[in-house]
Amino acid sequence: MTNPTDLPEDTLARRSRYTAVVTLFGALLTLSALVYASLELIDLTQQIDAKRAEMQRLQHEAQIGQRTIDALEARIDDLERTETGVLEFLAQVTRGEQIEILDPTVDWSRIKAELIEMPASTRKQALLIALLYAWKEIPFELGGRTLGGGFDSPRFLQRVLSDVGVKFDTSPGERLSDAMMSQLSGTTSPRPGDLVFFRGQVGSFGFILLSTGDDQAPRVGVGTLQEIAPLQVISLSNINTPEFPRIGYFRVDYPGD
Amino acid sequence: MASDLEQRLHAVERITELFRFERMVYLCVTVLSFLVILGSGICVLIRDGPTAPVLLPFFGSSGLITYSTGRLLRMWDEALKRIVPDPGSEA
Repeated sequence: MTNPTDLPEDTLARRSRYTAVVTLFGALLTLSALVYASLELIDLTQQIDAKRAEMQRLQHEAQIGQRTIDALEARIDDLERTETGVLEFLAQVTRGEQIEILDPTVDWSRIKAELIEMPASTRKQALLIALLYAWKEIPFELGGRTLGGGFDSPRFLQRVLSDVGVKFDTSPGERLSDAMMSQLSGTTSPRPGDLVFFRGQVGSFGFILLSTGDDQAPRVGVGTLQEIAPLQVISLSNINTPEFPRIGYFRVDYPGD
Repeated sequence: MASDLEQRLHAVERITELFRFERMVYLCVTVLSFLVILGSGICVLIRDGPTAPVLLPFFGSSGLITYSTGRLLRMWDEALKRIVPDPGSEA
């Protein structure tokens, strides 16, 4: 439109059409871009809303999970206090009383700490069962296999392991201790819950390991030795003598261990 | 004097005829933009308020209307200048 009268009409008309076409193309492009961008934004907004809803749902689930965790932690604390209480009780009722299940050389506080630190398992359960049997002052009885009638050494171990699901098969005429040793694998690095056997005057006798000890503390086991030494917690260093040589340690494969 | 005015009017009619297609294009762009604005307004009313996806075509179309209307007004201004020339101009 700049001074159009100075230009020929056909030139003006051509320029006008050119301008019109460019403007039309630009306008359509702009409008299309606006509509496309708007639709994309709507889609993005919907996706953001969906994600936000998902996030809120997950937050809600996380809160529920956190509450469950808190409840479980409280339950664990309660169980730990109960466990400590039971072990303290065992120590108190046997200390300085008529019942003596603890070898005086055994460091009970160390045993208790090791037991508490053990993760919950059938291995730990076997040790606690053995301790409770020891507290009941069950007498030694050769061939005995009942709580009322007493136990001998291998049958006490059989009873404890049977309580947590570990069974042993015996052949006619075969000693239980020999059957147990033949069905377990020997080990030089025993863990609490494994068995140790010694050669006795009649057959063999054994203990369930309560503590594997270290340089400063001897290994400790639970078991029965003979009539003068009924079921008790005992330091194994007091047993390994020329009269009763140690046969070895045997790994027990507890269910779920 | 009358003959001069007639000549000017004739010139304006001639120029208007030359730029008809361009004017039609501007008019179409304006109508299209207006329709988009109208659609955006309806969306604002029936949906959940003035959100970014709705306001984007709203303001974009208003810009297009401003441009096309400006071009039309400039044509109108040029035509008026042909009919009633500025006293200080050479034309």
